[in-house]
Amino acid sequence: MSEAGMRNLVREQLQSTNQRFISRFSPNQTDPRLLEAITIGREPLLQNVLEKIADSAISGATQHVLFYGPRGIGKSHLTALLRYRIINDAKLSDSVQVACLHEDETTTSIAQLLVRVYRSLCKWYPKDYSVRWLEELLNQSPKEIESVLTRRLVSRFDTRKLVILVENLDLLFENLGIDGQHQFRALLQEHPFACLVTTSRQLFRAVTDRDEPFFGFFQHIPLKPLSLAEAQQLLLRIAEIKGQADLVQYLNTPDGLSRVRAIHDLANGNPRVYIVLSEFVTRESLDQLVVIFQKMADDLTPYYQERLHRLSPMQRQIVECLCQRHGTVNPKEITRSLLADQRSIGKQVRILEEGGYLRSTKRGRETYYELVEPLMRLAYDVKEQRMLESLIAFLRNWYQPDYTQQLNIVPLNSSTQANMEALSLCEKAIELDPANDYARVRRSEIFFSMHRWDEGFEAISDAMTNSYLYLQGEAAEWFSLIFRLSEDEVSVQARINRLVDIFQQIKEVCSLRKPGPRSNRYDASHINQRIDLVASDNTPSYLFPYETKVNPMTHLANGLVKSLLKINRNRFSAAVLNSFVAAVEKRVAELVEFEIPLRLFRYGIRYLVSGNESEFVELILPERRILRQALGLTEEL
Amino acid sequence: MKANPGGNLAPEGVYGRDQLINLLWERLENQSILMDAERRIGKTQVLRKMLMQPKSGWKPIYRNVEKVHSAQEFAELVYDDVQQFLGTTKRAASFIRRFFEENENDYVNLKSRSWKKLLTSAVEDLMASKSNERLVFFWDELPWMVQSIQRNEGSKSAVEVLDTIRSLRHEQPEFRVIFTGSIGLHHVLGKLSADGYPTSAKNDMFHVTVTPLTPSDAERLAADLLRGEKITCDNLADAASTIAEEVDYFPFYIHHIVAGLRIEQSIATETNIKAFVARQLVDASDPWQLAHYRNRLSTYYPDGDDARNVAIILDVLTINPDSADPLSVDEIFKYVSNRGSSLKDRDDLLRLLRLMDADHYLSREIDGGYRFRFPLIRRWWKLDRGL
Repeated sequence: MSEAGMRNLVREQLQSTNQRFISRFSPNQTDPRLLEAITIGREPLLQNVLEKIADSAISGATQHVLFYGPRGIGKSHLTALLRYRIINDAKLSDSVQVACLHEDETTTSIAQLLVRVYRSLCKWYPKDYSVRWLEELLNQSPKEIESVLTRRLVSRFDTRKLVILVENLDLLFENLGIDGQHQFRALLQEHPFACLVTTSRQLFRAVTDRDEPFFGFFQHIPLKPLSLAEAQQLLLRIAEIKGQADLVQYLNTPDGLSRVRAIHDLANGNPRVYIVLSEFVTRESLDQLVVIFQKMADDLTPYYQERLHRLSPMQRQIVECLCQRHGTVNPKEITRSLLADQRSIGKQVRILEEGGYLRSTKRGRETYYELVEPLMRLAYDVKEQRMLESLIAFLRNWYQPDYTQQLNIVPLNSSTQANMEALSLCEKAIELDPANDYARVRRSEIFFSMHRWDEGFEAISDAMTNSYLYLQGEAAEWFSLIFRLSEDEVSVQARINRLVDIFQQIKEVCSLRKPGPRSNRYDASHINQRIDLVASDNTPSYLFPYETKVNPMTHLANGLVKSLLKINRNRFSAAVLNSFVAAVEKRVAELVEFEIPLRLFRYGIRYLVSGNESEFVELILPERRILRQALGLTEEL
Repeated sequence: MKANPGGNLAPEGVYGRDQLINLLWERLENQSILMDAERRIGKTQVLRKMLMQPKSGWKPIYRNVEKVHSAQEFAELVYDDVQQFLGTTKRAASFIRRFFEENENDYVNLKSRSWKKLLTSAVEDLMASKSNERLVFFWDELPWMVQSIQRNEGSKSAVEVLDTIRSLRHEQPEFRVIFTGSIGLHHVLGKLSADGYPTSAKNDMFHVTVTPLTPSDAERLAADLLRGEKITCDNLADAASTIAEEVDYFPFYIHHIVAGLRIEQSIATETNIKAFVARQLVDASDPWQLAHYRNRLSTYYPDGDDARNVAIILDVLTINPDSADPLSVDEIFKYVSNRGSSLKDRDDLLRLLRLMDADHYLSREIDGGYRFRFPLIRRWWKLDRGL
């Protein structure tokens, strides 16, 4: 059956049974055919493991694999799919059988483990294994049960292989204890009848320490987060299955991708977040993003709260402390904040790091911690959740695609004559086409480069009110020109004030206008529509409806961060660079739109002064990522 | 063949051990064997190949005895294996028959009586039996078991187990065992001796250390794994040679590299292979757990300043510009003194060098000089210590 055919079948079945679309926390509960359909980026791994199992069945070798990765990364999804494929593979099913040890059962002895394996075989292969026989056996002593089951399984898998799928291997080993682990290893060495395919949230001592019995026993395979393209692919697949044609179309546009990218920075490529998201996402809500995020937050809050309840009180307090901060925190600050002993805090943060809750970055001897999952803030009250909302709003605008051509900056040392000629060309272009955004913006830049500041600002104002701009790129140009052309702090200050005032006014004008009809601003039909309008009516007011949903101030704020790339650090002293920060702070510190951008700008300038990337250590990962983009640095490893 | 780092290999998948296996069968004719090596070098795979393809006339029984925590459990294990070999129904052993008669067929009591008697009698019966095949016990991870018995029952009991096995070897000239273990048995015996229970439990055994593969075997293994995993190579022979060389011909790491290239979907070029190995050496999570070579110093060399002095010796051998060129004892003594070691004299140094040799840090050359046994560990030590 074709992939599309299978998706149709899954859709029909799920609609008829009225189940939840996809079980987010228990992939075992999801129709495996659906799991197949939404498996993205894991096919090479699945194939690899299936080949290992097939090879074991033929050669008599035994292969053991440990998949590790944080919660929601897709471990259970992978094991559920492996089971499904092995059982349904005509070639494999003759020589291999599968037993599953699920995470919600506790096992403290080898006898219990073997009983669970046998029960699982009874469930999946009722013709081959008898529950009644097992129930009778349970009347014996644990030692006898262990011995009988070992013999039974070894003889059953004399010429075949048993694949035991174990979720949360770390918990199993912890419950078995060191003696149990030795027993288990001895069993598998003496009777190599089983391949273990296991999962855990992270690597742990029992498999990594050379003194431990299971050192070097498993091939450790990290489950990597989804890439942006894979995340987009996942949302597309789900939208296709759900029959959301408009969403599919939108996801394939640069705008749609930019929204996914904004979510991606917060979701850390965690597939579970996208699956949850897919339940609420529509064409409109994805565009707005913050709304969908609020919906998602309602749904994920109990999940994160439940996870926090599993922690000790001190660990919860540490996580709470990090949730309340914008940036990363070192143990000293945590100690002060919690009025606790530094040594116990140090120990607890290490446990939280090992448990996959925290991530650390070092600067010199100091270690800074942050939440691995920024969405953990959802476990707390509205205040912390709003912090996330600001971030997602910022990310939405940050990743807005740049449709304009990269503007050519007028060479600062060009002759006045060259500038005048360029200016004249701009005037002519605007006369021919009043909606020529490029010419309007370029005009303001030429004025700036000639230090004709007032005319430059007039040109900006004119461009803002009369054209149909992608604002972010231009705002970056304006900021960078102001910085580059005004080394005196007072004049920098005055010019920033002026720029902000223009955007503030535009924001007020926009807020008075009613939203226009929805349209994709940049698709071909819109451009044609726009050309028609230009031909019929030369008034610019028709352009505003498309801008009313955009807050020009957020563009200006993003432009501030983008201007970092255009500041030549070799040209300015540290004092001058710092004066840029002071000038910006004086004007925008109170503006909510600048909360995140100003912080990034501040750290960006610190980097330009010192040339040291360790300056970023106090920022959380999504912000570090943005700042690296803004400074043209390679991605953090 | 598929890359299989850590799992059990099929006998055909055990490369380059035929000569060693022949030697082991040959020596078994005359004496029992103590086989040691670094962890994951493939001791168990050698045993498994011998188990699956025994030499004609031999019947090996493989037991991983790390699960055993008491002398009684051990004796019962041996008893069970002997019974299985002899066949419980067809040929009831004389000792067992006697015991049943004395104890009114009390099977439970049979196993719970004196472990020493149970063990001795089981072996005696085995030797008295007339079989076409000769039984040999492979007791894997034996040092773990001894350590565990020492912990649970005390040093006396642990030594008694070892001495009983030794007595049996002497009293029953046909009785054969192979001991293997990832913890050096000499460390365990050293601890027992320190507790006042010296034993010469291994002196009569043939001692063999499993080494990495020969370059040609390692290259053959790497090439077959690359083929088995269908990894793209510009030149298969070059790629196999690079892999083998990068990890000192350790089969475990060769499997690891090929498995890693498959996961990363990399092409097996020299650059990619070297980059992969380099990442393992510097990765903060230390995927090959090489930090163990540093961390275990204080456990292996607990006396006085020994651990610190061992680290200095390793430093000296690391900064020696020609890693292939061993340093003489005098040279080592001169350099370690310059680096602030607290070794009292040359004899004190020799004592540590011998221990380091036994623990696989160093190897002694024909001319008496010492160098790192494994260049890979030297490379890691250099990175780890920032030398």
